[in-house]
Amino acid sequence: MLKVGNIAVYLLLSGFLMAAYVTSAVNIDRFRDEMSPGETVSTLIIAPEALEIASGEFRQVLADYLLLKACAFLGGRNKIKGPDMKVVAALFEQSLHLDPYFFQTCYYVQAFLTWRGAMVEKAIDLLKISRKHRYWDWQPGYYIGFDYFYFLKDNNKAAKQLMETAEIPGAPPIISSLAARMAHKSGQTELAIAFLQTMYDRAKDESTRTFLQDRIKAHTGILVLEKAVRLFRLKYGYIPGSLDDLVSKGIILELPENPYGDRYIYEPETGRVFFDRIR
Amino acid sequence: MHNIWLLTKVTFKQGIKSRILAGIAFLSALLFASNIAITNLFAIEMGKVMVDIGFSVLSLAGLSIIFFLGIGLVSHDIHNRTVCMVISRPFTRWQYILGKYGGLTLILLTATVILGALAILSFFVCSLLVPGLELPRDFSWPAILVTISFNFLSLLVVMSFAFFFTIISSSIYLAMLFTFCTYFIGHCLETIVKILQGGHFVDASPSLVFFLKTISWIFPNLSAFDLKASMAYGLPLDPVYLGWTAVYGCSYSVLMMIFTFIVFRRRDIC
Amino acid sequence: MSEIVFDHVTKSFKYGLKQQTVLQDLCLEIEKGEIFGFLGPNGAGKSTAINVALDFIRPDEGRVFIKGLPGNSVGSRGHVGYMPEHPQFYEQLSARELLCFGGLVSGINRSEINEHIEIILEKLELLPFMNRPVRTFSKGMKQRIGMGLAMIHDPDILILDEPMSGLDPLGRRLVTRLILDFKERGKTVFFSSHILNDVETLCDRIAILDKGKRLFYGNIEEFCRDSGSMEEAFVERITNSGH
Repeated sequence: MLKVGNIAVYLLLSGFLMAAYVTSAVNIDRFRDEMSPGETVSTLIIAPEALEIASGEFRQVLADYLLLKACAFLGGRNKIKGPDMKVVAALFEQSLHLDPYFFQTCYYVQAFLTWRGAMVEKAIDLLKISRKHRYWDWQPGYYIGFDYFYFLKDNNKAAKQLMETAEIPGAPPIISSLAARMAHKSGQTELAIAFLQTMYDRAKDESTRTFLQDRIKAHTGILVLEKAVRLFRLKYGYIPGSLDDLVSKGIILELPENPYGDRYIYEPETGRVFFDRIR
Repeated sequence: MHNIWLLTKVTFKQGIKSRILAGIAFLSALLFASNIAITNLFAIEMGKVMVDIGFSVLSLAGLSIIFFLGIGLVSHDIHNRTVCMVISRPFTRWQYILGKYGGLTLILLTATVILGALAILSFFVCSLLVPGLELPRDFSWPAILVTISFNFLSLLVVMSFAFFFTIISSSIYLAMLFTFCTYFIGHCLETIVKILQGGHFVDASPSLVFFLKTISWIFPNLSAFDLKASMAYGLPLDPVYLGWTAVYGCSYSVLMMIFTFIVFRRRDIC
Repeated sequence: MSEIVFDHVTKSFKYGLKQQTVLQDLCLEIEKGEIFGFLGPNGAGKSTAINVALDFIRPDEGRVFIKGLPGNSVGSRGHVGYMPEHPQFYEQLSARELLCFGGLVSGINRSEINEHIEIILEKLELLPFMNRPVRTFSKGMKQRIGMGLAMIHDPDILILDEPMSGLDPLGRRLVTRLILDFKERGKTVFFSSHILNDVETLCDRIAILDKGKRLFYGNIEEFCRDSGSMEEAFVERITNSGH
């Protein structure tokens, strides 16, 4: 028969243990939230081939996981440090090596490595893997063409890539027209807008859509301003000294808004307009 | 023949009533259910992720059955001498091998059918519950059934050498270790040879490549049975290739059984 | 023709680098209708001799014949009912399923098997437990099922390895009765034991084995003649042989 005194001792001990457990658990959670394990993303620096050997028949699931890891880090972060971006690139590469058919990897390579990572050559290398394996899909080829045109300013390679891509069954007709225009070296800005518009129509996530929308707006602004500059020159015989001249002389009603800053940047020597200082 | 069938039935009953099987089935059901949650984490090509996870659980469950149930059943027979109850009767050793293997095959087949049905059910539920899920390209029921069948065939091959190792080794853990090593080599040997032959990763000596190619005749090429990528992306499956793969799987299993019999025939079993 | 013949059977095992001889030139003949006891201290080689007879182990030299058929032929085992020292079963099966398997494999017709099972289970006093899985059985019950498996097909020869081991007095009485019943029907029983009491009660003739060598082979009266009790005779033989 348990004595009352013994019961009291047991209850006290149990109560103490439970309290210790609960408070420690709560505190650990608090500390670990502040620690945020995703502060720097990390990955095992192993060659993708080694991963392929190690994962055997589970390589597709591993590819999914690696991509998830990369995306979880990227989603919701605006500033990514250089070394971290390299790790993200490594994750993409590993994932793509394990499952070269997976489109989501290809999509995110284009969405992040080019725009935010400034690793365009790397992106193109990875996209080429997708392009090779997804023989039925025009999108990887389209991305590669865009990257050559927009970032590397290599119209020839871009055109070549787009011509090949246009032949894939199901490719939208705009690709061939973009390729043709590129081959004729027509106005760069109009071409850029057309490309971006197509990508915007196909974008699947909100952050990419917003990003592209701003880009399109910026380029459209440049188009308007560069046309205005040419018109000014035609009318008055000299290049305007500043963008305000365009308004004051009545060529345009008002300056278009630059989504990336206060004003558009104008180079009077060349007559070209830019939306930011990074070319 | 009658004897073989009797032992097959007994082995099957022994396996089906086992708690290990129930545990594996339960865990697999949980993992299939989690397919919905995991698929939701992805934004694009969710259909392919769904198929990836479903088939990975199927593979994992099949392998668990071989390792924990199959090896356990045969090892219990040999090392606990339950086999004496059978061999003391007019039952040849060859009949024993066939009957035992038949029973294990039947257990694996039953498990594959049930797990395959669960996998397909999880695909249905995913397609209903996960918003925006597109089915994989060129998705078709025959493709799923073919993928499951070839997965089953690869498990049969694994089981044939698991059976062999259990009979020849004195310890259940050694058998598990050898089986695992053979399974692992079976999956990665082809990849290793390709990488070495490709030449960009490492400078491979021709003798190393020759050695690896030689041993690839001994170890089964399990990656040939893995049709997951084709299933997930609608890649074309060549019926001739599939036919040869099926012949390869069956002939390897039968050869393995013959080796097992040769060892078992000579062995002192009590 | 003798029922069981051990013809110069020799067997050694390798333990690491050493070779140990377990049976040395063993010769025995067991006649029809007798109960033959196989005695010896632990490790004498009794179980090994039985395993050779049932083709679990292959002898280095010599052969065993059962009803004139070579021991390593499948046909010989149709005449034998065997029970090992510690019977092991497929534990998920019920008593009925086990006996059904044993009986069918040994050649009983499917139409008769259920009758046989009921008769055997009744003799073993296990009828109420017919459908329970064997893993729930106590040790004594498992030993009785082992006997049942040996007897289900009504063989001409029973080979039992330590049949009384681990049995309580009731169990021992049951097994004794079964063995005697077997003999009354003109069948042969060959069992090994180190319990001299049982051997004395049941056996017509005995053989004594020590370190693989046959020390005595004949009937019990002859064995006890000089020493009075069986135990004294046994101890004397073993000690004299240099144990």
